[in-house]
Amino acid sequence: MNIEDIIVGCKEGNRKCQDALVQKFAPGLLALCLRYTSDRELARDALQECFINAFRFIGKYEGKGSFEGWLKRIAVTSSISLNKKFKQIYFEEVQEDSTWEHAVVPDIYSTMGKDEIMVVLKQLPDSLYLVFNMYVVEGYQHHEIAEVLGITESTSRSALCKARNRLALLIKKQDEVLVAQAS
Amino acid sequence: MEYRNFEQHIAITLKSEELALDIQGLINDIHGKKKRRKGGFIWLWAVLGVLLLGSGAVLLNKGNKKDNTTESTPDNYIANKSTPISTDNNEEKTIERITSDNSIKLSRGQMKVKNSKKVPPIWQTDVSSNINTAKSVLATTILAENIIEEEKFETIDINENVDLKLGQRLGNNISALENKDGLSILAQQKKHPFISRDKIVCPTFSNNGKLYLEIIPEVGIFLPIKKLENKSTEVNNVFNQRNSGEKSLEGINAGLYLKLSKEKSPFYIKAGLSWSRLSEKMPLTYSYTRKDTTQGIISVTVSQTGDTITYIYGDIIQERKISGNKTKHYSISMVDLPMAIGAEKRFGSWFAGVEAGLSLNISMKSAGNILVSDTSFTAIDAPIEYFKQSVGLSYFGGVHIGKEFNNAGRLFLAARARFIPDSFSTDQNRIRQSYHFVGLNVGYVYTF
Repeated sequence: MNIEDIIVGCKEGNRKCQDALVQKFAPGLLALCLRYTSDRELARDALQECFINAFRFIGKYEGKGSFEGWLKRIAVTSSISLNKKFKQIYFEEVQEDSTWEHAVVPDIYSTMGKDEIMVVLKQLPDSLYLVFNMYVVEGYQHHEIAEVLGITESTSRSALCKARNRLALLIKKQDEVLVAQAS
Repeated sequence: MEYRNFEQHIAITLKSEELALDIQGLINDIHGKKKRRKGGFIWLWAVLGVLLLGSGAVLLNKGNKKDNTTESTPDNYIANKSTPISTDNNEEKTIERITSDNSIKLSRGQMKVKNSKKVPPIWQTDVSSNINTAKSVLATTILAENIIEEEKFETIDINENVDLKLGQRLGNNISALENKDGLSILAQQKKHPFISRDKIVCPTFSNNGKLYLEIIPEVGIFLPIKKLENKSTEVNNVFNQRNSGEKSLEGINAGLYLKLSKEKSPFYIKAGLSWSRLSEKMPLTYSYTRKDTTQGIISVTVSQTGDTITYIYGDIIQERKISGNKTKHYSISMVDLPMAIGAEKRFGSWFAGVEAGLSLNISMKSAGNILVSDTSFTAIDAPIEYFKQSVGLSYFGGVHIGKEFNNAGRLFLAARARFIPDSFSTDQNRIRQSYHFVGLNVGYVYTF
């Protein structure tokens, strides 16, 4: 059963198609939800809410754009709204220079696995981590981030810039430590 | 490698990440979420309740009317040859069935009593035990008044034999009753003052009594017997913590019932409105590390080649270990429409009974804070619903014992158990939470 058939079946309320959709996308979406929530249990709750909303509103999906992208956006929204209940995130609109643009990352970092990446990303402040994830990984635009998080576009841009600066710095510092250890 | 390429690597790696999970459990939870329409059931139940009470009342009333007809049917006055009743015309031996057609034409002398029973004289009889008999005799009195129109009755004072309450109940008709030969014991005793106990006869009356409507306010406490189940096959820390630490407190209950019963019949039906509230207490001991990142930006400008270079040193990261205790509560309030059938037996002024029935939950509301993670609680009325708005049908049964204090009121103590098959938690909740109640209620039965 291909994705088009699954979508058509889901629009008709076909239980088998709904199950097939869950089977196909649940593992990837759980990883996504986990990036936006504090623990796995909340991530699973968010995932469940995501599919419930997807089945409810799948009639509105007109086939324009990637279905997976549509589904991921529901998952992100569900995760963020669920996580908001437990953790308040504050944003500061302090502009910084884009120093990350000049940063050079050693090639060794291109082999970083997902766990190592998450270790680095989790060192970012929550607000910066959130915006970075949405923009870089999920491909949101600033106006979309602003809408989902209830902030302004400039705040989103500022947060992304700061996140990139800090990430570049973290990599640099980590690299310095590694070089020092090697020498 | 440029930073942008590093970002692309991050995006590609994280986008392709997948995590294993119990997909079947997730599917079950998702499909379990579909809400049922309960409004229709509520109205159906309410209509059913009204119909049940109504039809019960109609049936019992019909039986009552039939009984009254039986009482007023002169079949009761067919003479028994072996024990002729004392009448003005004792010599009359003719047995004639009195019907509604010929009743007016018949003389009093033709009226005989069938299935007569011998009873002790009134002075040897406890007045209270004769109350019901007197009530039935009253019904026949009305018939006799219709039949013997020309007869004038003498009023005699019966206060010596019948207590005040009985007199009040029966009113002036009781005085007329005494002079009706063949219809009352008093009449026989008046006519033959020295009649022996075994010579007195009385008619057989129907056992069917009149219909009583009673109103029962009651209050009580109950112990919720809670059961938590982890619906997922995955390890759930919240479930483990709640299962071991969450404690059910005593619940309170209040109800108002209408009870329909028939005199001399042990059975009754009752329906009403019940409100219950239960509470849960969750103490939590938590300990976690909190990481605060403070922006520590230091810019140093070096101008060797004319360029300005800004160095930004990283954030100052502080880690704090936070631990503590907190206790949170949440409560669930329920409104139900209970309906029951039961039986009651009297032992003098005491009575005891059993009853069983169905209860339809029409509303359930929850409030407070519930544990959602290892370290945190959340308000129950948050976007994700933790408890249903109704648990539907449940079953209850119980026994009660009580004492009558006056003609209109009785106090009782009831022990009840309620079995609720449906889960209190929503289908999307990964912890199934169900309850059964056992409790004690005290109430007052007021008879109209």
